[in-house]
Amino acid sequence: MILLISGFAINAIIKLTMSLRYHLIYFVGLLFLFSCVSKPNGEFSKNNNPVKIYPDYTEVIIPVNIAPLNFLVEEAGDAYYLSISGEKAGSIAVSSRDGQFRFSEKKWKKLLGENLGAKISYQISVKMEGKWIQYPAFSNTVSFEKVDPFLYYRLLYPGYESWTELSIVQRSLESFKEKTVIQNNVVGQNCVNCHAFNNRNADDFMFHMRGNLGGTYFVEDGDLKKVNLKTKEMNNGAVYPRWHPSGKYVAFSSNKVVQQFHAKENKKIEVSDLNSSLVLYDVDENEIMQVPVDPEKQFMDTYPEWSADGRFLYFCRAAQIAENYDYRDIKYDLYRVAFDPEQRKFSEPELVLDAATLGKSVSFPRIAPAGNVLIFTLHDYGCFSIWHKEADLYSVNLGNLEVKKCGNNSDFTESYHSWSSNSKWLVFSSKRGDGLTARPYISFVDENGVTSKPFVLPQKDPGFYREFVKTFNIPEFAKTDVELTPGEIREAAGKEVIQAQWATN
Amino acid sequence: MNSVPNKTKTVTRFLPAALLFLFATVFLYRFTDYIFFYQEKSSLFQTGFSFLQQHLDRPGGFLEYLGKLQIAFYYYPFVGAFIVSAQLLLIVWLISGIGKKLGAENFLFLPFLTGALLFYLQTNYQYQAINNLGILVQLLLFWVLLNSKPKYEWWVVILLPAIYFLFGSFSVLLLGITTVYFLLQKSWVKSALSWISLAIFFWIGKEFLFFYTTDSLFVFPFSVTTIGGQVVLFGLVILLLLFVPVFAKIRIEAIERIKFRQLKLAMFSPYLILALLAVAVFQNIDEKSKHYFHTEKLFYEQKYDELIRYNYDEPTKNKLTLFLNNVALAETGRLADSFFKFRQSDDGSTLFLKWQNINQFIRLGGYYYYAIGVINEAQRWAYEYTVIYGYTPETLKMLIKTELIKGNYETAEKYISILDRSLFYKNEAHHFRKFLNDDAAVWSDKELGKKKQQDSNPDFFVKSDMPWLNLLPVLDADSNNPIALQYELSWLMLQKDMKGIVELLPALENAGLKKIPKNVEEAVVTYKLLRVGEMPELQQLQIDPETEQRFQRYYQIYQQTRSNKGKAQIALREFADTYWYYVFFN
Repeated sequence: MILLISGFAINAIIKLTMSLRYHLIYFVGLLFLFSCVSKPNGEFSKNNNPVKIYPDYTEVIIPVNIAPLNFLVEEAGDAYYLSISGEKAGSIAVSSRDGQFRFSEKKWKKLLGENLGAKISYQISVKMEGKWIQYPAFSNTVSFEKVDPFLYYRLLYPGYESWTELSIVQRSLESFKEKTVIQNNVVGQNCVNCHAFNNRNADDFMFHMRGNLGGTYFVEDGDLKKVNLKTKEMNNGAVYPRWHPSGKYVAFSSNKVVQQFHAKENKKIEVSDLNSSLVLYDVDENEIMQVPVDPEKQFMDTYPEWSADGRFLYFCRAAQIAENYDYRDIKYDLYRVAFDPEQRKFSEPELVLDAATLGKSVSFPRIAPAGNVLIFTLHDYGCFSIWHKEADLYSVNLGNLEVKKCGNNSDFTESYHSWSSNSKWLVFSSKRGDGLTARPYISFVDENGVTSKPFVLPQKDPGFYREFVKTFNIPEFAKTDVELTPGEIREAAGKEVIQAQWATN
Repeated sequence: MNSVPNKTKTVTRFLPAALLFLFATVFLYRFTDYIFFYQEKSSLFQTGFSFLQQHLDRPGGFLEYLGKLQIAFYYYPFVGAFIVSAQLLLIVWLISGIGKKLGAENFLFLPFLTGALLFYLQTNYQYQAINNLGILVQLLLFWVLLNSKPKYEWWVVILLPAIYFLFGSFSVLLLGITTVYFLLQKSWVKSALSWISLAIFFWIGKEFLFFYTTDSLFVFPFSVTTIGGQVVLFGLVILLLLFVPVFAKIRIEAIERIKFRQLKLAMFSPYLILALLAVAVFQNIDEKSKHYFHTEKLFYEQKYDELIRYNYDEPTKNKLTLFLNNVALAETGRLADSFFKFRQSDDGSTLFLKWQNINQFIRLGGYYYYAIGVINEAQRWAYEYTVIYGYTPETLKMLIKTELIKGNYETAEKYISILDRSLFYKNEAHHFRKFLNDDAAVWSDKELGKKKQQDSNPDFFVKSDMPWLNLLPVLDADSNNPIALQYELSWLMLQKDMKGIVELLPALENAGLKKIPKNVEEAVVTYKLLRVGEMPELQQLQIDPETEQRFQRYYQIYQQTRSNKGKAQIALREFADTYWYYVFFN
């Protein structure tokens, strides 16, 4: 018994000693950690070159409700120190051992809130071989204008023919929260695409699903409705959607698409339409009709867009290709046609921008909710600008039809774009990071349609975009949350499809 | 108290267990190492939290993650053999331990039978690590349950949802076996609540959490493919395991009574099982796959000479093997020379792979495009494969190489980072990293520089459904592309298009060839001697008179034996590697 007790006692002492030892090591470790993350103590030299940070968040205009712009410093160093000070009030100071700066959401929000309409200035110092080097400060301007709280996009591999995982994702712009809204695996790897909101409102939301459970899914009173929009009168299915501001109609282009693969050029894929036309779906009546702008079928019409008042339908138009066409000769102009929503009647189409004369092609016309500015993508030919390195954004002042190149372009692709509900922010896809994967960039747009230097959607991990191999497709702002559960999507997919009826007017 | 003497215990338990382990290790390593090669080359484990996170979006993803981790170690086939054998041994021990805990003192037959069946299943190259791993974990959990005090047995009811989340459909094994056990214990409540607990979690997951089909939530990560289609045998194993608590209580008196000296016959059953297993597994060695995977291994290692020699010494009819062999011939400049030393398919399927959504086709088809310098297309095949089947070491390397050749360094860097997160390809990632943002380094590299040079030609649209149609545009742009030239000549030989071959002779001269490749020369000689058409003027290339003599001899024998095709084939066997033989007998 004595032996047993002494055995337990020795065991307990050993455990206690071990425990104390581990605690000691832990505290020494913590002490060491804190002693290592230091800050400049007054003596430092200056480096006059701008500090390199990734992503580039220097000199950008940001909405007051944006999530923290976490970044990493790309200058070699042993320790890093950042002080952000508000022009009006407040400051944040952060130390880093590896050059990564991730800000507390609470402190960030407070700082931005205190500096509405003012600047916040970033002062970075880098410790190298025991000496601190201070770099020139840079700043951000905090706009009074809020951005819509949500961004929706489709995440996919920037592939060509195949897919396995496709998801439509909701990202909170005010934090780093991301949630899946729809994933194709929920219904067995059918393709999901072309999500669209009416007026950035999740109550009027739709997306297409291709494959054996195919159809166009509309959110209606919180429920999902599956509709087959293709009728026997249509040669092709409904593809690119735009909601009429009333929520009563959705205009679609109906396209036959072909893709070919380049053998040598650095451009990998060529996607073009063989034919296309515009159709109008009446949501309440479940009727679909041809938009009668090309009775002779002389043109390929695509990418519909409604004016803010719903009285005009804008679209892109190219001459119908012949059998032996050269894809480089397909040039789309910008057109519009007047629309009477009450009578569901269209007038004669009119040319807005003759891009073909300039040897260029237009895609993705998008009108600000304020109705004053239209931004489109301009590229050398065709209508699939995401694969065109030269594609850039241009704006049209709808008052005087003056066209300007936007200031937010790069040497790489700028393509799909959408407006915030207050017409002050533009989100667009850009491949400026690596030339292959599109990322959502956000620009401030002033009342004249002038765009500011854009900033990439902030991520919790500042190195995120360097590693992430999927592409962000069709970024769309939204004011509200889409709440679809996997069960609801499965149930809707399993329902009998509602067949849209063809109408002549 | 131990009721079995130590010596008996050694003979009946430890020795057969040791034999099973040793035999499995040696057999898997020595005779079926191709299993490890295939599986290791079919997935890529990545370190880091994000890779784990990717696997936590559905029940069973964690087991899939563990399976990939295990497969990463198959990089060293011996380690693979050791791990698999150790798992089998653990499964045998666990079942035996479970039986013992349930009162069966010499519970040996069922454990060894199960171990043997699992070993047999493993000799199929498609049988994945998740299966044995899944079974092992579930048995371990059941063993823990048996060793819990009755009042603590509730943990299984509480934790079943978590176990389902981690191990997916394999948790049904635990649910089943515990149900049988609880029923035998007459613990109806625990049994019922286990089912209810799992059912509720399944329903919540299906409705609110997991974006997967209901079917896949039921079965994942199990699939018929990952057990190599061995449904009956695998089903039998699961059935045996489910009823372990019952078997542990059954005594078949008639068998129990049979004794040899002091030892019961039943105690020797492991030896009998091992003997039968040895016979069965040797029968199950898949020689065709073994040959193919060895070729693929040599191909990835770019040991082209060895690969060609191997296929020459051990001829094959497998089209994928011959496809790789032809790429190896082309890369070493011998395709048009030695083309008919190997069996060729007249539809071109040994020369090119058409675009089809079949794993091996997409995985390998791009190597033809890489060989002829159509880098975009080589990359597309690797990329499409990755999108459908996920990263594998070799497709990832192809993506890296092609991005480096195209000068897309940012994208190449992303792929290199992924390779760098693997367990055993870090050195290669480090090697590739040296080329980033350094055009000169890419140009001066033997492989990348050569491909970059071939790639810098005018553009055209690739026809992946008719791969041979891509050769002429490549040659139009660069008639000096020797690999494309060899492929075109080989395709024309398969088409028996002598005129086309002869028309390419000036291009051969332009490409700097000093000698007409053997099989091509045979076609040219036939064209010339049978006066099929005009011969082009050649500046340097000469027809070897010996080839003309050989043709005349061939033709003479052929004329003598042509009335009987079989006889002619035998008489002309010495010409089996010639264009003439192919033309007349295909």
